[in-house]
Amino acid sequence: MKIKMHILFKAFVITALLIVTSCGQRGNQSGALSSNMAERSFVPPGEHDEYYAFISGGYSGQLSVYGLPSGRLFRVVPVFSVDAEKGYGFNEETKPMLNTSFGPVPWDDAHHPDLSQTNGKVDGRWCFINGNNTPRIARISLSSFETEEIIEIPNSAGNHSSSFVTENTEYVVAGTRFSVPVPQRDLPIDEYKGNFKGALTFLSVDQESGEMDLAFQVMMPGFNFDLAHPGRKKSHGWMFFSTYNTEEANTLLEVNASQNDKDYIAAINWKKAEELIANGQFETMETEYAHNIYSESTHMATTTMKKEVKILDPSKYPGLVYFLPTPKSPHGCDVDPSGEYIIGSGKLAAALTAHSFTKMLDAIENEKFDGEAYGIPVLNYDDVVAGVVQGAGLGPLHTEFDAKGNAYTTFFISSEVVKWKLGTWEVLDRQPTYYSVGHLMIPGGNSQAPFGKYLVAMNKITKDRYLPTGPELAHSAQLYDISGDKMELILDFPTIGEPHYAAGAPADLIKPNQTKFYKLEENMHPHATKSEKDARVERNGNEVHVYMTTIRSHFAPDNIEGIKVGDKVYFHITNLEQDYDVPHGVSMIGANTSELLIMPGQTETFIWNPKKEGVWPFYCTDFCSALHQEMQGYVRVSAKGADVPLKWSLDGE
Amino acid sequence: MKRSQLYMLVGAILLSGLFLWPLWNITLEAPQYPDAIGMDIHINKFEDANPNDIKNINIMNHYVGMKDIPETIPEFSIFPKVALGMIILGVIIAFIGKRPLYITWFALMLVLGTMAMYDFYQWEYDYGHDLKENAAIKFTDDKGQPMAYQPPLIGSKMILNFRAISMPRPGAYLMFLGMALSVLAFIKAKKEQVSIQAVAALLVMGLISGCSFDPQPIIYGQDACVYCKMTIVDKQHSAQVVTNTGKAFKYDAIECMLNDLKEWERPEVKYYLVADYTNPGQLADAINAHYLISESIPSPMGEFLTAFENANDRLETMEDVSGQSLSWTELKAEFDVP
Repeated sequence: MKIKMHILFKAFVITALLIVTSCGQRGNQSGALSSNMAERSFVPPGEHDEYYAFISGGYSGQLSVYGLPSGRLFRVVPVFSVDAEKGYGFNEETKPMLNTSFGPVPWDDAHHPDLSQTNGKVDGRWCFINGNNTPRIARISLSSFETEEIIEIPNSAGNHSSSFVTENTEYVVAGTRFSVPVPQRDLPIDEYKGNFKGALTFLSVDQESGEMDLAFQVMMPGFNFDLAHPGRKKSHGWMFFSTYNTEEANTLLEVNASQNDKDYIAAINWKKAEELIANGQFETMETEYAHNIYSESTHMATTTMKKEVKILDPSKYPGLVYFLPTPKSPHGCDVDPSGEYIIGSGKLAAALTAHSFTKMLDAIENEKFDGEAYGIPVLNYDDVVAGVVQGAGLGPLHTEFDAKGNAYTTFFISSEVVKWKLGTWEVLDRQPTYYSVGHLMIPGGNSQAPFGKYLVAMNKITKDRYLPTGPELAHSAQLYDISGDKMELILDFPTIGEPHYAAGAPADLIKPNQTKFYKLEENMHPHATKSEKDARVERNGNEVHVYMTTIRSHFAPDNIEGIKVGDKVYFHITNLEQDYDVPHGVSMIGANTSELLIMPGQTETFIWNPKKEGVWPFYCTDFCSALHQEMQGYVRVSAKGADVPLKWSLDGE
Repeated sequence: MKRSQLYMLVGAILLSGLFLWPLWNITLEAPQYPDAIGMDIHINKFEDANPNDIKNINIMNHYVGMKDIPETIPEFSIFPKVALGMIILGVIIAFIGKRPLYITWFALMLVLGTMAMYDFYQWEYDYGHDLKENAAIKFTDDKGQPMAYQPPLIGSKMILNFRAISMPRPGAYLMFLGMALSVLAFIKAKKEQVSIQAVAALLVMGLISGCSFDPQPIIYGQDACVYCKMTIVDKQHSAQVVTNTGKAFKYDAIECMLNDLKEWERPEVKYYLVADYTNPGQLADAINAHYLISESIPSPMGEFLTAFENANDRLETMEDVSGQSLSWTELKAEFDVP
């Protein structure tokens, strides 16, 4: 009996030990998987996320709005691409938003969102984003979450080193990726060298309205300008652009633009540029670009074609631009929160180069130049470099920062995020991404005061990560908790288009300023109908204007007669609702356009060209109420030349 | 101006709050309205609790056939006049200062208020019951009757998925306070009459005795005995001590004063006063008063001790009831007062 007990006891101890060790092993093997990972990204139903994440849609041309840490998608803001769901680019009011000097362009490739700042901190007023393909910069209101302005960038092509915002939102920059002949002209391509230029554009921002104005362009040599970031604190007043193809190759760039051991980071003293402009030391160049502004008061966009741009040639103005040699086609060009370090990620190297702003100023003062390029002084690499992060990974792309002196860099080739220490340049941690990470984002990352709690890594390739959906697969974003010493992957979510880059801000900064609906009495749309008694139909030749209203759950009028084949019928529809979250949608059978989606207090217009006689219905498309399905109407279309009088009614009145 | 008049005046003026703040509020809460929607009822208008609330209430209610909340109702032209009339009347009454008028004003307010509430109830009833024939949605209640959507007069009530809450707002609270003040004025005025009598009596007595002192009037039913802490109610047995510093100490019975004097650590006494049994409410000089201990005349603290200002009055009383007569000195000895 005694022996039996002994054996039993031993068995118990062994089992207990096994359990303990296996637990420990599981913890080691799967890291965050075994911890409270789900809990950390879980936002209970009805509760709000802590941060907004504005993630670019890449080649979707739009801006998507997510919550962090939940990864829930709240809205896709239409920016550069038409969006039939919202009538953007289809209704008469927003069509002008997509005008360019090439005519309307219904799509673009949206890359880098950045948030407005005040005193070096994100302030929750606006989000800016660039359109790459037909160079444009858009401004999105963070009250209405609508695109309020799009300005075209002349002399630019592949608007990639954009749209980065200075410390007090003085400027949004837009640098060209492709150099092009300036001015554009018919030229053999192999005459690239010397003839092609790279325009770096500074857009000033009106602090009240947010309206942008093309302040000036710095006309650089024909390199490729890849990315940019503003100086901050001590380096405020400078803007840094990374360059590649300083070889000025015009064909097979993957080889020919990768020959130089070092390319440059261009440091631009924009305070100096401001002085030059103020003193009239610039050239005026004729050009053409569209400036589109959406007015919240008229609920309409207008396009102004602009004809001139102020040009600064850096070879003429010493002190305007300096080149900092940086190894191997630097891609990311990131400035730490203190403004001291400018991090260049040599994407073909394994190392990261951190330049020192203090050393740069010292080198400039003592004229420690290592020659010049197109009249622009090149500083000596050894005089400006502060440190190199060795052996961090393969193919460094982008770096963001927390508020504790750490930097986080993505490595495309080795698919990982690496945490390292500013100043000591030592690697502290590395975590894999799934797969091929491009940008990363820490809310407030491009500012003096990052919120170092979460890191979002944006991946180009997902392969087997989600349920397969045919040949085309979702891209993804991955959320890491960076509050501790080690980064922990806590969430993985699919995104809209390509999640190229993102910006984030605390929800508390943005939530209180939300527009809940537009006040009807402030609606200045020229075709607004502010009460049902003003609803009417007017004919002017073959042009018919329907002034219609919507309110739960009917249109006024909802019966229209006297419309004829061949008419051009404008439906100007005003949503009379004055409550939160009560849009009405409208669609007409056979209309060669999208629906309208009209917010309370707003007026929108679509055009219908009736082609066939008959009685044609229209209806509300946004499930508005219990009697949404009853929200419909008819238009009687008579033959061309018929003498059916124009009349309209609601419930026989 | 007397205190009661002041109460009445303030009470009447508080009614003017009706012109500044809403009188009543109806709020509707439902899951799909995370910010509740509501309506403030002023004396002369309906107002959105938050912008557009009335419009949104109308939109919601039209589905079940309820009429729109009217832009205006006849009451809105009558109520302000009535309220203004009552304010003016109240102010006039305050200046007249007649006690019965205070309570009359209160009664009038009560009648008018009840009428207004009844009117409000009628409107609510009509609003909740008179539904359009062609309503899109027709609900029935548990008994199969057409659903009524009448909000409560006061308090809260579930109507379908809405909680309807009907509560007074600052205008009404100020009105209630004003009405309460008119009642307070009515009560106060009574006491003022009593107090005035007492003061007059003391003054007369002071003149008679040829000395000038400053005893305080005893407010019967309110003042408490310094010694036993009980409220002083018996006007025939109370007593008072006034010290050299002018401070007065009041007692509900002569025995309480004597007991208190046994261990007197307060400033030296200037006057001892006792109630004259023959003239209730009137105080007499205790040193020259004439005392009687008789089991036929109970005193508040059970010592059967009574005082008379006049010796003849004691004699007359002693003819009816037997007892022991004492002087101030003898009385002090009886109670061991030094």
